[in-house]
Amino acid sequence: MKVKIQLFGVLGLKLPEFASPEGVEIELPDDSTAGGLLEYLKIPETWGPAVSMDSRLLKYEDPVRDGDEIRVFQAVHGG
Amino acid sequence: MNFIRVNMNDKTVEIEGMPDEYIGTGGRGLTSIMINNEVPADCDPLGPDNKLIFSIGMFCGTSMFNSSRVSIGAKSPLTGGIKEANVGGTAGAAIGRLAIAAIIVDGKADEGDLSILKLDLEGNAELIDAGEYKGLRTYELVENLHAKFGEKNAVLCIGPAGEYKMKSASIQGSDVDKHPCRAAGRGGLGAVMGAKGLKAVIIPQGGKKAAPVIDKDTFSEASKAFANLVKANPFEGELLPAFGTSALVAPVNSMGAFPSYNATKGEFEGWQKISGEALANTIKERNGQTGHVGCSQCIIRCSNVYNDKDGNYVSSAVEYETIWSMGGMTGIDDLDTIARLDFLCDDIGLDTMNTGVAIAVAMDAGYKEFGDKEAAIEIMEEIAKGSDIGKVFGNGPVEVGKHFNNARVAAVKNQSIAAYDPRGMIGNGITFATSTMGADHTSGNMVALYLGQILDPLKKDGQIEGSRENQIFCAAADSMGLCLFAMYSVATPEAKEMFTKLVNARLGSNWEVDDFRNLGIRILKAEKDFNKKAGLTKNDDRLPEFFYKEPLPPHNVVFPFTEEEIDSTYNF
Repeated sequence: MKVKIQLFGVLGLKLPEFASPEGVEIELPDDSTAGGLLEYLKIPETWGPAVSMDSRLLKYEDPVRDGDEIRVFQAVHGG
Repeated sequence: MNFIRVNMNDKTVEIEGMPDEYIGTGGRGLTSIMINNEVPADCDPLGPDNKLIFSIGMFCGTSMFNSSRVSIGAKSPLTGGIKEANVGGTAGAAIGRLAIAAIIVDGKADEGDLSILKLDLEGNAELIDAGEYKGLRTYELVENLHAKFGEKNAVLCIGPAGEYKMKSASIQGSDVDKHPCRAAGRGGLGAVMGAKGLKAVIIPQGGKKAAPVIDKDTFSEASKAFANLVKANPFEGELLPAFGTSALVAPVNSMGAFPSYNATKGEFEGWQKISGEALANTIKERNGQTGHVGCSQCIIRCSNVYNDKDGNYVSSAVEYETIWSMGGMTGIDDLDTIARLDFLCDDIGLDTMNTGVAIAVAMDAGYKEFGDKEAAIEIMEEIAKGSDIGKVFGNGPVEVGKHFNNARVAAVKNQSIAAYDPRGMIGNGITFATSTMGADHTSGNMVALYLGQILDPLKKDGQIEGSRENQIFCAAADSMGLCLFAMYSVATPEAKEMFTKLVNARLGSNWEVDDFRNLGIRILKAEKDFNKKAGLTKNDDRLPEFFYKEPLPPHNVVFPFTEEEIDSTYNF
């Protein structure tokens, strides 16, 4: 399946091949999850990634579906 | 460490040793406990019985990194309760290096009489006439003060809004570049300073009386280890230097919790134009600066310098909460305008959040169209002039709501919320409702718990407990003199042990890990006690009605907590 991803914060600087303001389309196995997407992108948990789709944050075990538009951030504190 | 007590009634200054009862406090701990002890809770916040207290945090004046925050406390003319707002820049470290723990300003000068409090390198202080600076905006004021008294002075000051005693008036602090662009913004403390007749406090940098550290070797070792911990964290070590707090624009919009168009939507259509990424790119194109050091001894570098198209300075730092209040809330999707409004707030001496929300409430009432950039700037100039309509705006969103007959005012205890909608991040709603400070994101922000998958921002489970613990943590953290970003690293058991070791090395005390939390509880209890004496009740711990009745797109949900649930937050 194909999903479109947008990377924000330092992720876009670290992974320039996936960084585009309009998003980048990638191909994943059909049963992929948010955690699987992070593995595909080689984003380790130590970077504090957060994944959102349709204005909701996904848990790592949540599935992603063909055609989804997904945003990936790093955890941020407010201050 | 000493206290400087200033009486504006008779213009006297006295210096005394720090009383034992305040040792082990600092910053917000000291201001709040002292206000509860010494200020009559029923006093007029703008009258002679209120006290304006500047207190450095526990680590200010030491070699500890990021330790330049000074807390400013008083009874608030905005909330009617206790208030603490803290500010970075250069003042906290400078005051600490004069071995001064707090400056307590009491009494009130005659109407129209204006003074400056000038400290010297010996830790003495004198009041000098400030008549020549009357009405000056903060940038011109600080430039004049540096020309007259030398550039190696930190300055805390008010602008016209403070002199007018407006309820959104801030106290501005100078940064390392000598710009008065750091703000103790919330609660109208600038009005208290103006009412006392104090235009500025001048503090020489380079004092040699460093705050005492009892066990220097342990302190040095633990502070280095703590610095390494902060630098290794992807948030403090990478994200903040690259984007500052504006990195929040993308995730909060993507959670549907960015209050937009006066909190009628949770995602702002133009957010990608004002995001952290857009800001960083614009700054880079114009030879501005990200990763800017705004505060003394800073190793995180969350600040930025925003330039115009010709490369000229506009403002520093353009931050998330201002991008929201002047952008999302007003429907303005233009960084140049937001940066200009940020500068005007600093220059006039205004809280960017209260002011942006005030403009949004008026736009929502039809006074101007959402997104009207020129109108927003014109309103700022009306505030600076002190015109009739300017006074309405300068007194904050609740007064604007009354003036324009608009009940949709996102404020608690008269203070505007910050950039997290209580319907999209319901734990932040609990903090806004119950904080002793009025709606305040720095009192217990939950956003990291959501992004870290610890809590679901839309489900009730764990929110009240999370807000409670966050509020306790922030009260203690605000007493240390380090910025919250550094303090957020004190999260793991190992980091808590390390931080406890630092406190003990500084004070020669026997703190255990739980004593940090105990300090937070002690502070919140003092604040709650003061507010109760001042007449605030649990009915003041409520969000505005529209958060319960108007579903917020895109989730189309309302704030879900009952009054009983809200009231359980302070069960400790």
